[in-house]
Amino acid sequence: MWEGIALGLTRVLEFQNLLAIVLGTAAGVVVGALPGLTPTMGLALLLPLTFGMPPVPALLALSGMLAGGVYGGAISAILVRIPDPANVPTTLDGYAMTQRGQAAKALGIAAAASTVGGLASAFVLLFFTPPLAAMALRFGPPEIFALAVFGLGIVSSLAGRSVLKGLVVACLGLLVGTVGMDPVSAYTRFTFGFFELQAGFEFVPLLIGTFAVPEILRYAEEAVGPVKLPELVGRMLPTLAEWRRLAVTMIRSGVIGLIIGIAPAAGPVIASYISYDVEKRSSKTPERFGQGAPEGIAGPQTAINACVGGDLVLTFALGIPGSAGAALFIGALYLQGLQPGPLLFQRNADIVYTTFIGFFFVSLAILPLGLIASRLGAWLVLAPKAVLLPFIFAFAVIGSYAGGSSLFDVWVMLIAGLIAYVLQKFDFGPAAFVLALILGPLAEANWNRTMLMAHGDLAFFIQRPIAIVLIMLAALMLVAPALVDRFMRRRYAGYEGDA
Amino acid sequence: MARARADWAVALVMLAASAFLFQEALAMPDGPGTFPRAVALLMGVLSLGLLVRNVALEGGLRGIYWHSAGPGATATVLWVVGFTMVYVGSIGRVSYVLSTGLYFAVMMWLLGLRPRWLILLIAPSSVLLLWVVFVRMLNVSLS
Repeated sequence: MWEGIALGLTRVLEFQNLLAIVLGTAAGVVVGALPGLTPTMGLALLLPLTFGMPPVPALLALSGMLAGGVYGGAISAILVRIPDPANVPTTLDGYAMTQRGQAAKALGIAAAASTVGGLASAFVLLFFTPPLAAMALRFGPPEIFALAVFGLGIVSSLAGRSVLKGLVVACLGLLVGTVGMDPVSAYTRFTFGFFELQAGFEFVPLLIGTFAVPEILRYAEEAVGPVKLPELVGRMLPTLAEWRRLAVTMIRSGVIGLIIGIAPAAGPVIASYISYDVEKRSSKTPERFGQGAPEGIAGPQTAINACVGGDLVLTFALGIPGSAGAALFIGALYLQGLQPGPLLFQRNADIVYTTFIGFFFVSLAILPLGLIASRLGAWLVLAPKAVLLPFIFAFAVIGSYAGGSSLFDVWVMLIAGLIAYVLQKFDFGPAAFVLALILGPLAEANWNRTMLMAHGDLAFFIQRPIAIVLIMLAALMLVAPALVDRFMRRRYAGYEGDA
Repeated sequence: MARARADWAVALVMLAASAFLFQEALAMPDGPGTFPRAVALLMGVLSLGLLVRNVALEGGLRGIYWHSAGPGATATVLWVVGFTMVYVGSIGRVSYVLSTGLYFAVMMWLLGLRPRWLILLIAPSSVLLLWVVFVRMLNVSLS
């Protein structure tokens, strides 16, 4: 592992990799700061731009987009009180500080906390992922099949408010994943005479359609009224005394974010609420919370950013995405011809370690880039929809076209996007569709191999305790998020979850 | 469409889709057809469960409603989608640069960007930016 770290450290300092970090993070901060747009959409749109890049800068740019976007969300939350779900707690004290004329200070605290949270998540990514991947290397087809089933169990956490709806959408994803030639028999399935579907659906148009188009259409729907931009006066970065005062908050929230990030059924929204609650309860002056307490910004921001790396642990180690952003990372790995999962560490250790080390640099880049974006780019929140919307849609169109130079892919993107938009309207989470699309072929191939090994006898699984444990965990995963959601709603007024 | 009672309708569509896909999978030989058959069957059962839950257990046709962002929001989405489809359809017939330039200009106008000279400035610049990134830098062939 240490050789990998040393190699990663050397490679990340190459000019093109540093450039990818800076540009990706800056783009992420910009996208995150635009009210109504999210890092997930930014990732989906960035994906086609990585076609022509080598794997390392491509993954670093995506990492920057993800982490920068998470911080960017705090800018619109603090300045104009338009938060995404994860930044609702940040708004409570962030906007209160803005109203008191301390917007610059609030943004500075958010950037500092995001950096600390990001560094913590990079640490976990670097030191927890390789041992997990090494363990997974010993898995045979039954365990890999069970792992895919476990991954499908995560559907429930991506399903919106109904597990049943998530499972229906996941089945749809599994079926879409079977379109094209069967890898074993070469029999073509569900192509309906479309020659373009012989090799199955192109991944990027489906990802753009599922993740970017619904957001673009939601953005089209929203009537963002005229917002008054506050003036940023005074020092942004926390003073040494403030760093000292917020250190315990950041450490505590970082740990909360890491634990929740690694847990597959939870995400940044939960981390954000819990860290805010913990900070408020730990404070000797809880009445300051909601009135502009710096801890009310530092806590949630550290936790959200700590979640980012934790979320990618399972993605890199096992090839199982735990969130929409992680699913897009899997898409990027496939685009680069890399197989996510334990074999990635054997075959492409240099790429993996450089990406992990790059996460440290991305986190460090958030501080200066976030401060610059906050100071100069606060106007971003005022960017006119009339310009952004057609540009983003045209970008999605050419991005879908770019991979295969085929207009068929553009139609696939549009139709998938419309279906995802309608499904989202009825609370069917489209992320479950993509998760199933990714895991379906893995599950099918390893089920076939397992059945060959077992001569069709299901009792064979009894001899594979790890596979049984994983399948049991998958069942547990189906109910866990509903229980967590019920707990969060009971405990936190205004909690809306990830749906 | 503001409060369409449609949760059960989506379940019905999913049920129909699963029945159709199951029938298609039945025509496949064992092996390549086994997995799609099993999944289509499962999807059908789950859709039926969803339908039953909404119609029978939750008292009639109650369900999740179409969450409209406000008056006119659905109409805005419909014309944005419609116009984008016309744009995509025109790319193959007219050149990419021309169709995209027109798309930008008309969308900006319809979304309320004024004055006109601003549109004439931003629309070609946006096309140029996309062209430089995808054609010049990423070597995407638009012909």
